[in-house]
Amino acid sequence: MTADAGEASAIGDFREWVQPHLLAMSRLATRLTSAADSDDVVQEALVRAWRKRASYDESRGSAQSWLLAIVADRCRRHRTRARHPEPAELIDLAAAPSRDVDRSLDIERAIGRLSRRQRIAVELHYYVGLSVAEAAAVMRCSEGTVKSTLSDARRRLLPELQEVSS
Amino acid sequence: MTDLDELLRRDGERWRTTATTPPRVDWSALPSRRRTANLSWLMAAATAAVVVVLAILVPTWLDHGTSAPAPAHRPSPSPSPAPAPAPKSLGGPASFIALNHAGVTQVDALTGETHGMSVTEAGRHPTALAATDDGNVGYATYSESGCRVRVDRYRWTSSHTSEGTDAATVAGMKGEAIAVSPDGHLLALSVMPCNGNGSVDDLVVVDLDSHQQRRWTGYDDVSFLSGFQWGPDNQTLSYIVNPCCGGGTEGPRLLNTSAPGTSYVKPRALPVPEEIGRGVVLWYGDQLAVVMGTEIRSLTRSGQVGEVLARGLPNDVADVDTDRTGRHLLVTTFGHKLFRWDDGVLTRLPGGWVDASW
Repeated sequence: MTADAGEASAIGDFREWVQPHLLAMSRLATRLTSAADSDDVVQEALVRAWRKRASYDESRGSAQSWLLAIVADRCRRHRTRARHPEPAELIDLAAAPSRDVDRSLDIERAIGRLSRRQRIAVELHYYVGLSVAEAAAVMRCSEGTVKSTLSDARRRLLPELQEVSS
Repeated sequence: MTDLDELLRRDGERWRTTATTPPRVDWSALPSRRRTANLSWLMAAATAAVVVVLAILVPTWLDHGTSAPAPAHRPSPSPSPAPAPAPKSLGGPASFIALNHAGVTQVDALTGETHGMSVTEAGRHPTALAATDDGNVGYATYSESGCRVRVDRYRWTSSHTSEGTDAATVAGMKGEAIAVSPDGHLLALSVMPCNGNGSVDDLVVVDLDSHQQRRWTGYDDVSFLSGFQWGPDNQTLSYIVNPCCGGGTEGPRLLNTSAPGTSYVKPRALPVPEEIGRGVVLWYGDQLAVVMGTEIRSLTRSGQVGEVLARGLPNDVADVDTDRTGRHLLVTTFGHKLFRWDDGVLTRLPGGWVDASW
């Protein structure tokens, strides 16, 4: 096999390995940056994952948690670089009933005021849809920490979302 | 689970139904391995040097060689004992201070009924709560404009009315953890520094008599504080440093607040078993202890978990507050349920409280 063919094969394997997790990567990138920046962030994360793929050890965590951790890191760097004060609009206005849109905007604003750690925990658990154990693997901390962080986040959200939740 | 948990769950599910488009990826943009292979020895050496530098500088949470995202193991929870009906007397303090969406209030520790109205500050919502003097004095933090955190002190009188006074004002934002020493003289709180990136907490200890303040800092990048508990000597503070999503070591630490120093990460994290993680560390009388499942077990200063000190706590403990004897505990769960534990007797208290202290 030539070098070119070998590399193409490696990229093909990598692509196949990453494919099942692309949607979750995109969702996290959208939540932590914006829909407009999401593709760029995922692209950056994939380049980084490709470069660091030799360091991935499946006995230490799932591919998804490894890839999402890279996405979260890229989002932080992207937001620092771009100086986005808050993520852009995440609500699909055409798809959702107006009451849902209002409620989601309220929730969105409240989540935007959480600390970074609380926000990542909320986005991973509630919006990307990971279990507490999966979120812990991405955040590289214990399940107890994720539970505490989610509890702290809900406590902080409570006064702001009291009317929305009632 | 709470209404808010359900609200977020439903909003997340609804959002995922709208976010179903996979990203556009340019696979050809992945760097070529062959390019490196064809470089001159000088370029190859330079590339290797960059790789080494990157390996040092890249946050360790992305480096899976030493600490990969291994799913945390939790001990099998013991069957949770059914809460006992409230007996006529359980001992311990007669009241505790609690926090909910309405503000801070004093609660009858036997019946769980509130003593009068909740107090709050000009429509603001307190973010953290601590109490002392058998649940008759409470401290609550409020974020103020100009990057300040204000601490108000409330004393409840025998007629169950409270008097609020300004206890301290600290430079920073979002005071989310707070604890008052057993003798009521020192107050520890976490704040985000004004010039920070929102990912770092400072530790501030306020002498409530002289109003002098001391400040400790953590890791530069990501460093959160939680779980403040004062030791019985009124100078040792235990807390958890949580470098979630950044570098550093997670785990409980003990800081002698009367010793010199300005770093709260300098005290070595106790090498507790992995399943404890951040956990709930507390002082059970004079003994440092940790909550494991439904038990409280002793914890040595070298991080070793020892004998069972107490059994029969509820599952999913989020926080424990002990009275001055250590025999009466207020236990909050992650589902915002509140229990009291008295010499092995567990009693569920009514209402949904996000924090409680006595």
